[in-house]
Amino acid sequence: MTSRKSLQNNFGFAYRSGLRDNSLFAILNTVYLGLFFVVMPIMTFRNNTSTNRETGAVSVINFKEQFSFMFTEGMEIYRYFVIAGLLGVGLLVGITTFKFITGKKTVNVYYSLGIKRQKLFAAKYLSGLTLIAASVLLPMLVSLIVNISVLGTNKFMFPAFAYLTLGMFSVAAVSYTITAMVFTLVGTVFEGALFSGILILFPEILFQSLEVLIQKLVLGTPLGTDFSTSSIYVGDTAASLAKTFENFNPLRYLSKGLFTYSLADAKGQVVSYDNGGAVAWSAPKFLPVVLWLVVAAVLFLGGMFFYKRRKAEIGGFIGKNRVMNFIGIFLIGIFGFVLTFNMLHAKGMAVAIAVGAAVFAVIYVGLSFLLLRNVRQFVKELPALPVQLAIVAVIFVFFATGYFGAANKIPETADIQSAQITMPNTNYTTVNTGGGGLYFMMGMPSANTQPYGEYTSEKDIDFVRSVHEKLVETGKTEATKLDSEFNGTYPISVKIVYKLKNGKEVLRCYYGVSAEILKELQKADKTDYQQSVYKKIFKDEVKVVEMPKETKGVPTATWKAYEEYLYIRQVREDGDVRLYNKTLSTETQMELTAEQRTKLLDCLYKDLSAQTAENRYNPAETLGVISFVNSEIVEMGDTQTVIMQNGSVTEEYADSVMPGQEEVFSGKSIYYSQPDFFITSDMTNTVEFLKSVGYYDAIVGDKELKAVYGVQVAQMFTRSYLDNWIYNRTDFACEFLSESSTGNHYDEITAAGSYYDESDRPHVFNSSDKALLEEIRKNTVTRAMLSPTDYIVVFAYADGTYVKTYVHADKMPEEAKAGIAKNTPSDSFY
Amino acid sequence: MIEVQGVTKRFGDFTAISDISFQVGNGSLYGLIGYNGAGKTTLLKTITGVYKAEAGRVLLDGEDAFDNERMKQHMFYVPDDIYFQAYSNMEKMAKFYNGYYPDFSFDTFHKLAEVFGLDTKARLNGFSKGMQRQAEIVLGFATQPSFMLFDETFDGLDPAKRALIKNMIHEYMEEKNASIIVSSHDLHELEGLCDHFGLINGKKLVLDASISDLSQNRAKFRLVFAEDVSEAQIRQLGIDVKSFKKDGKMLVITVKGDEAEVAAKLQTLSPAMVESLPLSLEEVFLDEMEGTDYDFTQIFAK
Repeated sequence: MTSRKSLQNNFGFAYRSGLRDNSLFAILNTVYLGLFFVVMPIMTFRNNTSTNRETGAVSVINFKEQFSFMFTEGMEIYRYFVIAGLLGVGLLVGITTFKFITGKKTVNVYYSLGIKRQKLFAAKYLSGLTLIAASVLLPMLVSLIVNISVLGTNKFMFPAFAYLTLGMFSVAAVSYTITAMVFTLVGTVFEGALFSGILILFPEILFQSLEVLIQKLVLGTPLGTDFSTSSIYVGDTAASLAKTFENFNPLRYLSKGLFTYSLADAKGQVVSYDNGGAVAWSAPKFLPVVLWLVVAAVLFLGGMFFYKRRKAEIGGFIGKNRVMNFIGIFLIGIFGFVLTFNMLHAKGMAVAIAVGAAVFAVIYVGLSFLLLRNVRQFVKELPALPVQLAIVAVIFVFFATGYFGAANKIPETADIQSAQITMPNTNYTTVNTGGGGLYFMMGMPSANTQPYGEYTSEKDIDFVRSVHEKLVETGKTEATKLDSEFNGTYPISVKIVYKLKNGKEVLRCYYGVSAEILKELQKADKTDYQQSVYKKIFKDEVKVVEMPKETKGVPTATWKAYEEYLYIRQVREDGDVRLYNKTLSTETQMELTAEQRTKLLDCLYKDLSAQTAENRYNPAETLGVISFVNSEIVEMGDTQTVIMQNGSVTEEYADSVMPGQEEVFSGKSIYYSQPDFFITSDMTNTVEFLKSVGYYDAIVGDKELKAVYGVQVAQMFTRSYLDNWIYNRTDFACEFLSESSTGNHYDEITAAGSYYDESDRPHVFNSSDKALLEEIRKNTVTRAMLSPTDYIVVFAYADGTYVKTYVHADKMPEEAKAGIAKNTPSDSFY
Repeated sequence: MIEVQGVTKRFGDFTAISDISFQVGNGSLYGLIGYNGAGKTTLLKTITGVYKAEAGRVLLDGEDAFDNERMKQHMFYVPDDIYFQAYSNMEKMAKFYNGYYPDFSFDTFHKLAEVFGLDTKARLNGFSKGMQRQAEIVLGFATQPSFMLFDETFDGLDPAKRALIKNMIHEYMEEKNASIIVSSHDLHELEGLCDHFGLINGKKLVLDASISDLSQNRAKFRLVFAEDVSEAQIRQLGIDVKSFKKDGKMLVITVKGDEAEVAAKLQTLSPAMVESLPLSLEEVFLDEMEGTDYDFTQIFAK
């Protein structure tokens, strides 16, 4: 006969014993988070005196003038450590709390106890969750107290505190709950830890793997490509699945918030994730945090469900959950496949696939044995291998066919609101953007390959579509690699953006294009848009645009409008009009009356708007360049408040909040360039005008030449004339559509300029023969579409200046060709 | 009362026990016999709710036992493979069980620990296997359960401790009117302890009977005749002879039938001596399982 007495508080006992028995990692987490959220602010606030350099007077810093709150700093980097720690503590507390489920001996006790299984699970779960919550809350509360004691309270502090605390708790809770649920499904601690780790990392593994496959297989994918012209303060701007779906990833959903809400200035301004500048306060987005807590709650319920039905007999035995085995092995296998494919892709698709499949199989066999530890069982499960390989194959085919052709679909003209495409620029190479900026070739972000224009007319949209069609027809190409012979495919990207009438945006990026495509791009000159640009520059009424007063939060369009105004004003009104000869060695300032200036502009407009693409980009003969030079310093922007890493506040020029290096009209950075217009022999109106005002001779003369240096374009691909300056090498590798540079520019030939002296120079063709110099000069082109057989030459003048320019192969004297053929690469590094 | 009704337990494709039914009444000690791997532990774990049966059910005082919080608070299972919390001592484990058993008695715990001479503050992982088993038994009794299950409990215990524990189990059963199941592969261990027996063989319970049922209608005699008497002669008297051992003029026979009746029949042969002997459990089992292919050497090996 049983006693009627029953224990009502066995749940409480299980909960309390869970708290007592599993506190170690929670305590460690408290200490760990304390380093970031307690020690850092205390250290900052302790440094509360400032010494005047001149007088030596010591004053006390009033932190209230600097901060609304300062919970921590350095989150550009430290956030990764914090998130890793949170995920880790969740996993570890989960392991220690639920490992009893997997013990052969422990189940004899726990499953025979007088407590319902679900109650036991819930009690244990809540004990671990309490520990995690405490380990997050405690250091944050201390941090809050420190902040209040130094800064007082304000309306920004508590929302930020709540967000950081709840957010960090949610990350650890998700990790913990995944672990708890996994333990209800598996037989050993090893599997529990392994599969928990895999599931926590699953979104990251999935998105990274898909991204690699998409980038390698899908023609025109925008993934991994930068469509933005602005630099971002933390992280890169390239489109990525991982970033797009960051809110679906426990590794990432809190990352930006941790950065943004770690501190705020006295006005409540936080550091912008995009540009590092201060931006006005906006309330933290709690939604992703709350949703992830809901996910954790759902997983908890799932864990209870599975635990109730769990077969105790699997405790202590590995590999008993076939579903987890399948998922775990598949995820690791596909990751291995993708890594291998990525590494070997350059060696050929077939090789990459074959080796990748082999790696997958090896992973499958290895992990299966590790999990099953039984030959017979392994053989029984072997049919899963072809199934898994088939799944990989389906995924692979899906991407290789561009989502079964969907990626190659070009929107219909009628559906397109506007389009943009990479400008047919004269120079796809390095562009200094005033701050270190965006320069790189080989498919990486380059300001000059960013989509340009706003093609809205049917004719213009069809132009973009026609180029797009040709890109799709060409299919996947292998761009010439650095240090390889030119294979006919230029290593640049053509980017296309369609804004559809339904509000959606279609982005495409094609890396590796033929000369044919580049010539197609040049037809942009004949678009309505480009014609409107010329009209805007030369003919339309100039609308004055005031410089934006604020440098923070100014829309890109506003800045662009201002930059356009400056450009036009330079052309129309206040830019000095200068003439250069075709080798850019002479400079003549034109003194024109207002009427003459108007006439010049009219001639330029007529000539440029009528000019063919061939004459513009690959003229048979260039006569010179006319520039409208800004002789005054233009204030590009006000200063902005920047909160430094050590918490101090400083003022910086607002370059970083500028809307990037929009290629206003000419494809060059407004910051470093002026409106340049190449004068070619077909520009009859302009030539006549110059003659009429007596300035034509200014472009036909030249200074005294001292020497010429020469390299062939093809040599820049494979032979290291500039071993130690790889960026310049890539420039030259892309000197196929180039224009001469003004100024003292001799780096290209003489190898990193001042870093070399005469004795170190590699053998590069050079000559002082006057007749040869003259012959070469006569045949130079200021702007050209170069092929690998054409030549880059640098003239050294008697007055010590240098100029870089070009000669087509058929125009280069044989003597020079022979000499250039003997060029040898440099072996030295500086 | 513990009722097992048609319980079947499978592990994947392997059936460990099949359609097992028996009862253990209040104040009853049930001995579960079977060779190693017969399914004794599986059955016990199914009764305690560690395993869920694929078929059948277990009732404790009429209530389904599986995941039955209230009933299981009055059941204690002493497994073969004992578990203690890491770095724990008996005091800590006592607190652990006190949290889950409403009737746990620290008084009983300390008294029993003293009886066994166990230091309740010493680390359990420092105990020998036998001492650990004793510790578990002490803890089990301290919970004062109505249902107790012991799995191969006497392994590793010296004879003195075995006797002590047997005594303790018996006294507890009588005092608390508890239902107790003790499993063993060694029949001799359970002799004199249990009032009911079950024998598991071939995944099934092939024998389920009380000791009185087993003993009933069986007798054992030692006889001395002046002249040789053969088994056939005894059989001719209408006596169902189960075993016949001769040692010179002395005979030891086991027979099926009423003892008094058989004795009377034997008198007709004019024995010089007739002595009635107690039947051992082994002999009963041997008799009962006659004709089976059960390998008794496994369970009868001393």
